Amino acid sequence: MKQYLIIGSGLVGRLLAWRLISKGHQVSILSSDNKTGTGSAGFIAASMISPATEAVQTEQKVKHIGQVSADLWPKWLAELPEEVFYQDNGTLVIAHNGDESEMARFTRRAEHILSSDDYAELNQEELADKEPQLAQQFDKALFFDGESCLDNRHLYRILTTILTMSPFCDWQQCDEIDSISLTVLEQLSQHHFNCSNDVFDEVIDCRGNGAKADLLGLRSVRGEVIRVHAPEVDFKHAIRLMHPRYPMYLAPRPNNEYILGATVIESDDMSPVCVRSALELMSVLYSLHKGFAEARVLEMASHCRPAMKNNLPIIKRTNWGLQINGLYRHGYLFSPAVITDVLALLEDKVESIQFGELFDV
Amino acid sequence: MKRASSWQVYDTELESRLFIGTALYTSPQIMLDAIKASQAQVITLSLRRQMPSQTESNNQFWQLIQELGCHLLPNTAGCYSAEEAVKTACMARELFDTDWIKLEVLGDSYNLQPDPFALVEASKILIAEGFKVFPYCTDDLVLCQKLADLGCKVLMPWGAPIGTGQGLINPYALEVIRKRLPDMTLLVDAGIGKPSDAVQAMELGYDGILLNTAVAEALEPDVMASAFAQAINAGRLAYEAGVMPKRDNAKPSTPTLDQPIWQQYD
Repeated sequence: MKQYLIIGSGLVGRLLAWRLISKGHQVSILSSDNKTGTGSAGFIAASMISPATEAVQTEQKVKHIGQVSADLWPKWLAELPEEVFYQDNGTLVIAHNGDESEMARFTRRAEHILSSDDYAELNQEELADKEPQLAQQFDKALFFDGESCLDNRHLYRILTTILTMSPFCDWQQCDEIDSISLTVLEQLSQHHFNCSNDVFDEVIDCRGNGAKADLLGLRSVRGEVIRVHAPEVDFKHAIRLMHPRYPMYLAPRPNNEYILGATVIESDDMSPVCVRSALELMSVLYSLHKGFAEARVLEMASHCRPAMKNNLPIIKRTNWGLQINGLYRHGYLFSPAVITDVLALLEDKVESIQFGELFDV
Repeated sequence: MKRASSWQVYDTELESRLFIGTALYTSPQIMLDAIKASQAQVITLSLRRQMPSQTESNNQFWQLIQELGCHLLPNTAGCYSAEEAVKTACMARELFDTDWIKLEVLGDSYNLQPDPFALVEASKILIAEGFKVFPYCTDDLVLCQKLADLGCKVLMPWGAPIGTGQGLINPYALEVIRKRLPDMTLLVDAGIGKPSDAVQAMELGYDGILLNTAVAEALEPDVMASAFAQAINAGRLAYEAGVMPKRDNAKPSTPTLDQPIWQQYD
């Protein structure tokens, strides 16, 4: 049994803590966020696990890392004491008639980055078969089988309960930690855990955006989402709408709730959703199905995702610990794969690390 | 490889004749690689969504752009009135610390066509305010003359609407502008889809090319950036070298003097 200190309780921090206590280790968590996790980007996210469609919009490596996570999620969720909404019906990619050139561009990139059995072209009849309500507005789609999404807030709630109830986890809230050093760690350990920092076999920094002062090149990319309850709409797939400004994604939740997300803005602006984005998000909802007109807006939220220059995760060794960061808009797509590799590193099973190129250790 | 001659834009000496945009790349790394491969010395960026942070924390994206060491040409993308464009230009001058401004005032949201009337109005105000204006305009000769009369030293008529990659839709109009405004610095801005479009504009005598989508949306942006760098250099060299005039009849390129008569009249 080893003793770990995890700093940060966003998606990576809490998932890692859970995996470590599951393996019989002792974990201390120090975080400036509340235990619900409302300050974390993963709490706001649409939490789609879509290796192929994300790879088309980024690069091939995303598919490889994402596929490892996609295989792990159902196994990990099965270990939880409650069933978390998890839907792997696949993704439909569509565009309005006026935006056909955006669809052509997406298709061209898909041909370049994926293999032809990663997706299928659907005509209106085939689309109607999968998603009847969508076929009322659209006459064709690309279909990516097996892509999934999960209910992130339920996952957060369960992990909070597990970690706060576990005798092997000590979770303390603290002020924001701007910069970490051995001295800072010693003070924090004494203050919050009544012990020396030497007690910990490893310190793992999962602060995300909060780690900017300690991770050169880390930047923020703003995203905005709207969450609605739409009893008249019954979509069973994740949907991506190609749009000239930026791609939109609709992720279903239980009980006719939906999250529509968009916007990739190079900014560390954490202010609320702006009117222009709100208008765009709502008009996209309405354009997908008229039933969204009577939907109730449950929430509009914005957050910033931490990203490195190449928009890929990084696992970095410092003189005080290990940093995991840069999951960008791929928190749910990447975290199981990244955490599995980090666990391999912690257990000295370096040979089983799958994505060595992400490591700077 | 022989390089085309250097040139001046508002008293700034430049080697590269390519201005490149910073939008639409799938990651900053891919953007940086493409800009480096393009050898561009001027990069355009929009104020609205790439702002240096107004909070005390540093905007890392902004730092990445600064690290390139290029001249910055902020633009007023997305403005639909002279007033809005002037306001955006003033903010850009303060934030990016440059008096260069790519003035974009749109008149139609469907094809993002510049509004010539608002463009003239905004140019007048900005020149009076001491800006060095780079107006993004249509290929209308009279509009270009009006902008020149106001004091614009650079004009950037479109090849085709933004992001369409249609190439030079009206090469005749672009050629007329070149001939009628021989001393004006001219760039083709928008509509360039492939390197041969850029070569065509440079062979017409245009001084440079401004583009973004053609590189950013290529499957390999850095490779395409390199293709454009070479094409623009080739087009300029061709212009400097003097393109031969067209003839109606064939003229052999091999001297015929030493050939026997029976071969010549075969």
